[in-house]
Amino acid sequence: MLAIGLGCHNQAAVCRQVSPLQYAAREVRRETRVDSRSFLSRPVALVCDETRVFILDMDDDDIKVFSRSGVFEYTIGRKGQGPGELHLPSSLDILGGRLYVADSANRRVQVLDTKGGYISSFSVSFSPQRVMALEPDRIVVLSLPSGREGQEKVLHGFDGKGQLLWEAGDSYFSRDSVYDLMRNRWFIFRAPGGEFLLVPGADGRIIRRLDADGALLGETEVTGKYLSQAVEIPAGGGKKRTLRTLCWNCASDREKLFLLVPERTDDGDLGPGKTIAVIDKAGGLEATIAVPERLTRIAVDGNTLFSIDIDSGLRIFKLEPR
Amino acid sequence: MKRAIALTLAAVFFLSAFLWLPQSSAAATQADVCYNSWEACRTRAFASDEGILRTALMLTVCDLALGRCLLRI
Repeated sequence: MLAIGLGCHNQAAVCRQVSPLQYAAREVRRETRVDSRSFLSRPVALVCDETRVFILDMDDDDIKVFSRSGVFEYTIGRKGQGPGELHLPSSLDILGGRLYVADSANRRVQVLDTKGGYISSFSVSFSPQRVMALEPDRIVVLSLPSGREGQEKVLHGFDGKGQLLWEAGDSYFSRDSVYDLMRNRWFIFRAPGGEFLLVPGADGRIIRRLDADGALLGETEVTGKYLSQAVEIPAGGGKKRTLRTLCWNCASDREKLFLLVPERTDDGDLGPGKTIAVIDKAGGLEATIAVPERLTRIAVDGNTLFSIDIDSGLRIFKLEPR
Repeated sequence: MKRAIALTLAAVFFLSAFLWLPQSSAAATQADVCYNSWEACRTRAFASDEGILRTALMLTVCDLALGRCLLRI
């Protein structure tokens, strides 16, 4: 295994003495205006740029746009199959003033400007789970494996016109469609130098770094100080299979990963939590952030945390060292 | 005589093929509908924030619905 970075893992004797920093999340009081369009039905992704926060709503088939202080501004898209229309959108990315949307049920990726203007789209042969633009001419799409034909490639690289350039990463396949899908939860994030990170949502603590052609450049293991949570999933024949979750959701900012730690619910399930672990590029636990509510989706920009709580509300926090 | 039999057999073959093809094509289309619905069901379940066990339950329901849909074809 090629380890990237030379952080605490390789200086264990020194770094083990250092406790992770603790951050408090101070909530920013949002200016609210009564506007039914600002209601979030099922927010599944959020991204931000210098001036706005964009929230992808799977049930409303649109993108709701807020100011960075949380004021609703406008909506992009509507349900449909035409240009600029969406059906069960599942993922959103932003790069250079362009929004990249995984338009799941339409089996395509759409590129829109931040005002909602249609720029382009291309079809894919699978149900897209996540999308990320490394540059306008290099778009990485993560598929939701169906398992209909056994093991599948989950990473697909396209040029800006939708030409498939490469495929990489095998899906987990054990003929148990439910368990397999839970195991195939991945997150992708841009990294410096045109590279990107592949972060497992479950069963694994290895973060992979890949280049723009999908080639593996290195792997980093998240420190054992970060405790993943396990849950027993019912399988066929009355058996149970253990699923070990790394994060419920995660974000990336300034070469750090922010893992939303899953938390045990009152009924024994494992759901969204109230702690965010900050992982440095060597896999070390740099800090933990305590938030007052269970969060389902997060995006981080500097010391600002944009998030969705379990009641589908936009919550904005300023992060401050304790 | 042989030619007549061959022609008759060929006619029967093509007639059967034409009668069968639309049905199989309709069945394939219906199966596609089932699988499309299944994928949509899984996408919704997968994006839910209901907890791992509840999500697993929802995914199981999606699989059961797919089985029912395919059996109706």
